[in-house]
Amino acid sequence: MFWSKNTDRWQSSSSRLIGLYFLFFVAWGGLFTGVLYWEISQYLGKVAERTLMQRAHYYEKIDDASLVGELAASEAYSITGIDAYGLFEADGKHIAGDLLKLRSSLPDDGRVHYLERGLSVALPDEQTRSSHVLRVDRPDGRILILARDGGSISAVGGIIGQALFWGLSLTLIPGLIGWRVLRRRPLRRVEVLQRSTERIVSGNLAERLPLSARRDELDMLASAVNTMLQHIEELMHEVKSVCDSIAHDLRTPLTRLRTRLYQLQQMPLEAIHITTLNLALEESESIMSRFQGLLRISELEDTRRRSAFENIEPDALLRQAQEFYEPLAQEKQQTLRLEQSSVLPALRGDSALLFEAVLNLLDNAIKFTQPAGEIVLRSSYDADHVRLEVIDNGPGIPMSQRSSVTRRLYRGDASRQTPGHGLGLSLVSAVMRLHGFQLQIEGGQQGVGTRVIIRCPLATSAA
Amino acid sequence: MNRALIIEDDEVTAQGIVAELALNGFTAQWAATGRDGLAMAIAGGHDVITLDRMLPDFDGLTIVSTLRQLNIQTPVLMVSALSDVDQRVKGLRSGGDDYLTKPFSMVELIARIEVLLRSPDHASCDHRLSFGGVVLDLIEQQVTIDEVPVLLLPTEFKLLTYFLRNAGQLVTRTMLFQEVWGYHFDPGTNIIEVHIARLRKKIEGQRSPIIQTVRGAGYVLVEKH
Repeated sequence: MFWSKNTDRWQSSSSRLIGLYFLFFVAWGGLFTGVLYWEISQYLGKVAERTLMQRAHYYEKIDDASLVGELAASEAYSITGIDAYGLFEADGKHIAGDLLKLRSSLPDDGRVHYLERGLSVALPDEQTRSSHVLRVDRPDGRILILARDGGSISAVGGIIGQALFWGLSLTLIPGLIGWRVLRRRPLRRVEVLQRSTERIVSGNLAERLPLSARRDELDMLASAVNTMLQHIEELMHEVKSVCDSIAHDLRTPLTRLRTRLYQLQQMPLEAIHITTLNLALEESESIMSRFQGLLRISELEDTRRRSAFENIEPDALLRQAQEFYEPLAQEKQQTLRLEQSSVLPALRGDSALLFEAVLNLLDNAIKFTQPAGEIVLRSSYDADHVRLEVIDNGPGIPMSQRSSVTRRLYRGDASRQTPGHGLGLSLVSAVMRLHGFQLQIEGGQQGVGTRVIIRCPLATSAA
Repeated sequence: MNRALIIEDDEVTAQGIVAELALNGFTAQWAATGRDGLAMAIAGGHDVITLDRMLPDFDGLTIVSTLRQLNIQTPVLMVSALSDVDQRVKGLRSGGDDYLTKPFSMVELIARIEVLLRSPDHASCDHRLSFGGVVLDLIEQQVTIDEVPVLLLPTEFKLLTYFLRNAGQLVTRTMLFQEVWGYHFDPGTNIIEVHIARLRKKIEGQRSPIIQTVRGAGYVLVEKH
């Protein structure tokens, strides 16, 4: 009625919270494994560095002449594919070892360097691999390169990456299922609350928002609203009972006054008295009809009347209204047209009240539209609503008065010269409230005239 | 002289009805409770009953159904507050009875009682209605005035039928609206007057009857003098 029925499920607060939590979890998981990877690779790097330094220290003590033999003897113990060495001439020519090529960019600074693209090894089918490398320049000008495979670091990276992948997927899949289940529960409760609120807004003030046994924050809110509704209902009841007792107290003397006047009318009277009496009778009739109108509107607030609702064919109702009012329009040289697009779906309501409401709108349109004007009674519908419109090309209702015209006894500037009690539109409005229909007053096309729209929701009104 | 039974718990309303009925040539009896009213109605001797829907001891509808079960067919005019007008009250109309909503005018009450008092057999069985020079055939759906056929629109035909059935009788705007258009409320304004004016224009003739306006009350079909 006043908010979208199909709330976008992705916009619900639980969806948003879970989405946010998901992002936080991914970011945290990523950060955690990143730190882990960094720490481990740092540690492995240091281990490799230390080993290389130890080897370098050892070879430093060996004299140049026996170096080749010592290298071959001690490196025979190291694991193939993990540790390697290469001895080169100063010009880069290979002398001994698994490493075949000297990388000239490698500085002799006594520090271990990490090479992403490693050095060529003399093993068959061996790709170049990442490695830690130390260059030692010998006193005789030869260059010794000591290397240790860096593959274990990338292997650790792979393992951590895989752990991250499995960890995320194993957490996210049940997480997503949980999200689906969890976000539906509060949404369903909000929808139940929304439905009750709509019933309350459409006039059933005795209705209360349902509470669950959980006593959660939604229940706290619903309970606060219920207390407020209780208070509003009591106030409304108080106001209504004051109005009703005034009406009741006035009805009796009014009826009595009129009865006395009628009795007087039956007595032999002089002409001058008869005229005065007739005027008094007319006045009492006018008071009575105004009074009846007010009573009628207050009776319409009573939603018990809905129990008498039946299926109504709006087409027939509009046709009948048009036929009923056509002679009056003709008398004013106005045209009263009926524009029906197609057969309208049935509505649920009180046909007499709806007919009375449409008559009131037509009566206003004819009354306020100039002679030779045009009044159109139009109907249409879509998936949700039946639209009934009364459009005229009369003087229109100024924007500032549009919301006031449905107030009881309100008479706009234009209507002060015309007969009536200012109850017509309030009656229409009361009938619409009873039915849960919306009444909308707009300007006509190009700002000429008035367009009154009745929107009848099909979901609540159709049988 | 017609005898009426008023079953009404509100003393002022009851006295008003009794006085008005007396002015219109009725003798009226008043019962203030449903129990008394039912006993008086069963005892019989009434031509018409006006019955308040909401009585302190009984629902008016219970009284009507009890009477009908006892095969007492006295016409009943149900008087009811607006909110009490439900489908069951409207359903009474099918039994030939009528209802009126509070507050009502005495003219309306008397006019409806008068209509209820007319023999329903006379009104419904004859398919040819005539008054003055007007003859209306319900089966042929034809109207002649002084033997000259007149073409009437469906609404005008229904209006004339109702007038002919209740010739010489006061009929109110609300009664016409109820009979011809099928709705039970006062449509207000002068719209009924406009429909009557159209009908008048078509049935005006030498000997034809005329529809007389009774100021502040309604219309009556009378012969031309």
